[in-house]
Order: sequence, then structure tokens, then C-alpha cells
Amino acid sequence: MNQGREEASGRAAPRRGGKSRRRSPLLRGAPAALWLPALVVAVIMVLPIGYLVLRASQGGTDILDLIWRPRTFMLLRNTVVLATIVTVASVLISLPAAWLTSRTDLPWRRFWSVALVLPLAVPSYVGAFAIVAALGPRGLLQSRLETLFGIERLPEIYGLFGAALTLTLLSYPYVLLTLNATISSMDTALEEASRSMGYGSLATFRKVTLPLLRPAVGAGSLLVALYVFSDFGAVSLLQFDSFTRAIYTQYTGSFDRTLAAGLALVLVGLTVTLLGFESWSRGGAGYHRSTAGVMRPSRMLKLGRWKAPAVAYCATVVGLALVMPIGVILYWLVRGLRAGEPLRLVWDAGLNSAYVSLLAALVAVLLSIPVVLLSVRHAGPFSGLIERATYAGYALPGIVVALSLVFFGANYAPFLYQTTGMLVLAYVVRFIPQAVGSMRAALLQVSPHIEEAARSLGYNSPRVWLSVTGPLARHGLLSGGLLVFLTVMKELPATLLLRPIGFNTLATRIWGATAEGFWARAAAPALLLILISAIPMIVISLRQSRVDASRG
Amino acid sequence: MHDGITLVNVSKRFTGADEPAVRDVHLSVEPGEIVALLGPSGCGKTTTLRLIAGFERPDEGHVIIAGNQVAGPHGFISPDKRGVGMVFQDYALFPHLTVSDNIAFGIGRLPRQEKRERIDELLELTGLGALAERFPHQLSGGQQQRVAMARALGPKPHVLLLDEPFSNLDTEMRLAMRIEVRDLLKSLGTTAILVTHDQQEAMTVADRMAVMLHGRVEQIDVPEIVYHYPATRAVANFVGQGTFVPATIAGAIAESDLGRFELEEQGAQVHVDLLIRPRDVSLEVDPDGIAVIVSRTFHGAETTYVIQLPCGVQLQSNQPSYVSISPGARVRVRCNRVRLAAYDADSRVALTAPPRLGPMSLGTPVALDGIDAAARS
Repeated sequence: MNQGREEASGRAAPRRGGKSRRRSPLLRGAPAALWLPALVVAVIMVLPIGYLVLRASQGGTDILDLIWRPRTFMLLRNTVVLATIVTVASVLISLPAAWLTSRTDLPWRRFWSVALVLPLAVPSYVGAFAIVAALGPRGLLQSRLETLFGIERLPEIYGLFGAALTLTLLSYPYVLLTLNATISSMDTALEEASRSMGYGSLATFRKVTLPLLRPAVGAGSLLVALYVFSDFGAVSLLQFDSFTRAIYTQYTGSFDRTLAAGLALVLVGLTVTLLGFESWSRGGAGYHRSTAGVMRPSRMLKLGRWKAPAVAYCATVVGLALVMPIGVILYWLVRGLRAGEPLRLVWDAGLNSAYVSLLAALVAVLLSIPVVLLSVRHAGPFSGLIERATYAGYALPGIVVALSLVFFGANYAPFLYQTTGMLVLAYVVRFIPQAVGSMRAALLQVSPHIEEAARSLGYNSPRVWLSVTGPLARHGLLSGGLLVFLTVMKELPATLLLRPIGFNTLATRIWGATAEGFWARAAAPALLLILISAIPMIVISLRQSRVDASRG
Repeated sequence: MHDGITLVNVSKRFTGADEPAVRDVHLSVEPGEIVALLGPSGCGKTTTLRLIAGFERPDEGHVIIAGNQVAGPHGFISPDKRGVGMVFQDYALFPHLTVSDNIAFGIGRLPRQEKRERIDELLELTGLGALAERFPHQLSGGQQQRVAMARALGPKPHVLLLDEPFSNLDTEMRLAMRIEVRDLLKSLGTTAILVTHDQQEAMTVADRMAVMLHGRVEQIDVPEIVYHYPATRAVANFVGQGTFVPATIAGAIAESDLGRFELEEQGAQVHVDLLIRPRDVSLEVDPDGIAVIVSRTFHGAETTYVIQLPCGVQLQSNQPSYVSISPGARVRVRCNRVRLAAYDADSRVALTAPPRLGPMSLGTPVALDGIDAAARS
């Protein structure tokens, strides 16, 4: 944005309105109508983790003894190993996929670029269910092989191998998406400059393109690692002892819940360490285009005789990550329907899911408005702190949020405990970063000059918001709400721990049926969930590729 | 009611900044007058504009618009109640509204028919009639600029504030829009303040220009006086090109390498510097001349020569491009101007008074009383 205001200090300075009362410079002239609700939101956001720390510290030295056990280190090692394998595998899968779909004449390019991202719509417990149902003992593959060749055992699917396979196939699209975004906005002049200096196309890729992609790989890897840290469904169903599973078993299986709290804190420490490491490693070189001119689209590489292998590669990834789980689900769905599996329960669960998701999306969007307005229009140390507090959800795995709210509710808010309100609160804490992020991006697009123009034309602050800012930022509000809605639909651990008694969502139905091996019963809700998540994703990525196409 | 604007002792320092952005600014704009705030980046001109608009609050001093104190010790009136129109550098058009809805935005509650008429009037005034139903992104830069003008004029503001309004236009369009905007404002009799870092723009559009440096108004006067008689060396350096040539005063005569100049008033100074503009220097090849051509730069219509004077100063001279003198040649240098501005360490000293009259007596080349530099040697 080139607003070209000459006073650097003037740009950062907020607009001051209203009465002539002196205010703290910390608040930078923000009206109380804004910072008060924002402060309340921030307090709600840090409440769970704060309470968890409090609870653990009440245990005194006992808690340290509890944590300081070989088992904790085993969990730590398991979790880190799993995250490392999944992250590395995701990068290895995504790099060729991103390059093929954005820089070559791969046949059916649009189709592949959408299909390769779609596994993101498969919740981890559905993916795990599909893997177990396909490859596990008594699964599709093994029973076929048994009837054909008499093979009674396949390599063990439970444990590290199954968990790593499942999570890789579901989370590699995070890396693919960040790579795609970077590749499509990359200045090809940089590559051309390298070519003109005598580097071949391979050397150019290694020396210029790859380093330019590094931030995208880093950002995508961070998302994958966070996903693995916080995943509960896949590791539980595949019986791999990572932190989330251990916390859950500790919580449900024993009366002393202090250890669960302690483990949860260690897990939070792990995610915070990762976030810290990421922001530390990101410093240094800039990756901006240095020129102001219009970018030319890059030349498409002709694949030639590599076409068939390239298509085979994409087909394999999509086949394993998307077709296989959906195929397994369809198989069990048909079998279940033939056996007279009732669909009514699925319908009820679907309505419940939609209800709590909608509620959570609404609350998250409403709560994010004061936070974002404060941080964008009244930037300062105080508003920065408030905004950062709402990002706590990124570092808090669902099981941790759930656990801390269980403690808090049981001790201080019994009237909230096991109510829909508490459940929605957990969702909001966990997923409000999505609403804040998308709203923030939208509001940053609205130049403060536009608001000032409306002010100078005689509109007071609330009217400016209603007639100018609101309408201009509505896409951000909508997409933020949609994101929250979709992620809440899929959320499992917090739902398991906090749902009112007898309250079932699609997620809990799938979980319950899969854990007990009733695959036919899990199939219908799993399919419904995939469809609900996939359709908006298809729409968004088709629109995105149309934008790319029109730009190119 | 006095429709002008007055700033008295206005100062503003942003939190965290060491230096005030605006210090002790006095400014008075008469009704119907166009004043340009001219200055380099970071001089506080935009902050001054925003203090008038009410987007910033002064630390000291007060702002009076149309006889009402809008900021000062007796309170602060918010921007929406000040009756100021603002045209932003990026135009800040509402992207979700059409041209006519943008213009209608600030007009407020009027009977439907009256409102329609007012919009049509503004559309016609700015030549936008055919574009009324377009959206801002469907317009060219110049058209967007016109919409921004029409929108700001819609509520009939006491004053129109223009913040670098031409800087996003290409050169040709910029020149045309300057004239167009000045004509429009003059025909409506609108009081206006224009912020710009472009001296050409300030001189073309404004009735008076205020040169701001480091948060202060260094000089405010009609463009001709500011150009020919900059109040300080800093203003002289910022406005136009020029060279300071040292002169020694003896009695009523100032003597320099460019010749002798008669003084109208005698001062206490012995050494002063004379401000010489490149256009005012004439050259004549002469093997006995005391000055030497150092370099020559061809610009098309003109050629700029850099000349080494015996006093050590390198002087610039613009000559018509048919004049061609080789570097290294000795020349005689004269100044075609009777009245020159003279400076002590910082400011202009009143040895030669600026003419009381307007521009007419300034530009005409008069018979020289500066004696040829060559003749002295």
C-alpha cells in the first residue's frame, strides 16, 4: 500500500476522537468501548492456560516429581519423533507436487491442484479409521489377501508407522498450500537473472528457487508439526503413545488429575518451544521482490516424456490420501446400510455438530471484532498484547484447552460444567485465531484514509464502521466465521471431554464407533463430515486457481 | 462570519518521537484563498493538515475554523463536526460505492430532489457526468481524483484540505489537473490548503505558499517573493536552484566576482552572500575573463554550465542551447538582475528590499548596474 504519508511517526499515530479527557499513552487514544471488550476477550483466552499453570503449581514439588519420570521422556521422544517424520515426509511429498502443479504443463493441472489439497478435509480420526479398516488386522486388504493367498498377518499398522503414515497423508497439504502461494507470487525475474548469469535450470532451481521457497517450507512445516503435536484422534485410534493420548488416558483412567495437568503443561511447553524456534529461525534475509514493476507470469516447463511419471506421482498421492479413505468409507457405508445400520443417529449428530459449530463461529467472530479493531487501528504495546493473547489457541492443543476448562468448570463454574456454553467456550479459545487472522487481513486492506474520509464527511465513529469499514471487511468476517465453523465440525478431544452428557456430534459418533471396531457405524458420519469440509475447500481453491489463471 | 482558518502557536509531538512534528506554527488563511504547505518529507506539513482536519490533536496552541475554535485549551471538536473537506493522496474513495454514491456520501439529509440536483451539479462541475454509475476501480487516476474532489466539496466545507493530491498521477495528467483544480477552487471561491513537496505545484496552484522545514513555517508569502527573496538560506536551498556567491560591502556597494551591486540600505555586515539563480547568469567568452567553464550539461531546451569563480564558488548558469562554450574556456560572467537577495549566516539581510509590487517588477531584465567582472581585472 503506497499511501506515501511523509511523517513516519504520523502514520503510526492513531486518530484521536471524542472528548478531551487525558488517556494513558499505552492505550493510544483508543475508546473504552473498544479496549474494554477486547481486554475481556484476552482474559478469556489466557484463562485456561493460566488456570492450568495455577493448578499444576499447587501440586508444588510433587508435580515436578510426577513429570520427571522416564515415561514423560518416552512420551516426549515419541511425540518429537512422530512430528519429525511427518514433517519431513510432508515436505518431500509437497515439493514435487507444488512444482508440478504450478510450473509445468502437467495434464489436468487444475484438477490435481485441487485434489492434492483436499485431504486436508479429512479429520485425523477419519483418516485413522480408514487406515485401520483398510490395512489393519481383519481389514480390507488383509482379508482379501487371506482369501487369495492365505496371508493372515500384515506388518503392524498400529503404533509409529500407522500414526506417521496417517498424519503425513492428512497434513502434507499444509506445506503444499504455503508452497503454492509462494510459487505463484514469486518473481520470475530472479530466476531469469540467474539464468542470464550462466546457471542452468537445475542450478537455478537449487541456487535461487529453493532458497526462495525456504520460508514457505518453514511456515508449512510449522503448521504440520503443530498439527501433529495437537492431534488426538489418529494417535489414539492407532494406539501410539504421544502426549495427547497419554493426557487423555491419564485423565479418564485415574482419579488424580494433577498428572494430566502436568503432562498438558509439558505439551504446551513443547508447542511454545517450536513456535519460538520458528520465529527465531525466520529472522535474517528478506524475501521481498525488490522491484515495483508488474510481474510476468513464469514460463511453463514442458514435461515431455516425464508426463506419465508425473501424473502417476500425483495419482499415487491423491489415491493414498483421498481415494483410499473415501473408498474404505463407502465400502463400509454400503455394508452397513445393507445390514440395516440406522441413519437417524447420524442425522441427529449432524444437526448437533452444525449447531455447536455455528454457535462457536458466531461467538468467535463477534469476539474478534474489538480485538482486531484495536490492534489494527490503535497499534501499540497494549493492543499488541491483547491480540497476541488471542493467538494462544494456536499453541494450545485441543486436549489441553479441554482439560483446563474441565478443571476450571468443576471448581469455579459448576453451572457451566458440561453445558453447551462450556463446549463453545473451548472451541472459541482454540479457534479464535482463525477469525482474528482473517478479519485482520481484511481490515488491513481498508486504508485508514477511507475511514478518515468518511469522518471528514460528517460521519461519527460508529456510523463510519457501519457504512464503510464493516461492508469493506465483511469478506474477512465471513471467511473467518466459515473457517471456525469447519474446524469446529471436525474437533474431537475438547468435544469428548466437555460435551453435555448424551450429546453426540459427528466427531464423537465416529470416535465411539471406530474405537469399538464398528466400522460400518462410523462410515456414514465420516462421509458426511468429509463432504461438509470438502465442498467449501473445493470452492475456495477453484476460485483461487481462477484468480491465478486470470492473473497469468 | 470569517470563513478562513487560523492556527496559533500550534505544536504537536508524537509519542515516542524525539522531535516535535510541528512546532509553534502560525498560519492564517483568508476566505477564498489557496495556501500551499510546501516542504520536504518529514517537515510536518501533512501533520499540520491533519491537525486542521481533526485527525490529530495539538499539544499546544489552537486551531480556528470559520471563527470557531475547533482545537485548543477549550476542547476538541471531532473531524466529523468540523466542516472540512479532505482530498487524500490515495483518494480514499469508497470501493464499494459508485461514483455518485461516493459523492452523495457526505451530502447528508436533503430532500431527494435537492440531493439529486446537488450530485448532478457536482458531477457536471468535475466533468464526471458519464461516469456516475461506475465504481472507483473502473476509473483512471485523473477521474478518481475528480471524484475525490467532488466528494469532498459535496457537503460545502468551510475549507478543502488537499494532501499531495497530484502525486499519484503521471506527469502530463498532473500538470493538467493542477490547472483544473485551481480553476475549480477559484470559481467556487473555496478556501483551500494544499500539501505538497513539489515547488512547481505549490507555485502553480497556490495564492500564497508556506515553506515548512523541520516542523516550522519558515516563510509564508506569494510564490514570487518566496522564489526570489527566500527568507532564510534553508528556504533558498529548498526552493529553486541557486548558488550563494560571497560579496564584500563597502559603503553603498556590494562587490563580488559577478560585479558590483548598489545597495538600497546600508547594513552593519561586511560580508554577505548573494543568491544567484542559474537563469540570471549570462556568459560571454573572453580570454581575459576571470571565470572558467568547468562542465556543460545539455538538457534539450537549455544547457547548464558550471563555472569556477575566483572566490572558490562554483556557479551554475542556464543558457539557451544554441550557446555552446567548451569546458576550459575563460568567460566573463554577469548577473542580469538588479535586486538580489543577500544573506548573513542564516537569514536574508535587508540590504536590498523586495519590491512592494507584485510579480511584474521582478521578472523584467533591467539595465545592469552590476559592473562586468572582467572589467575589474
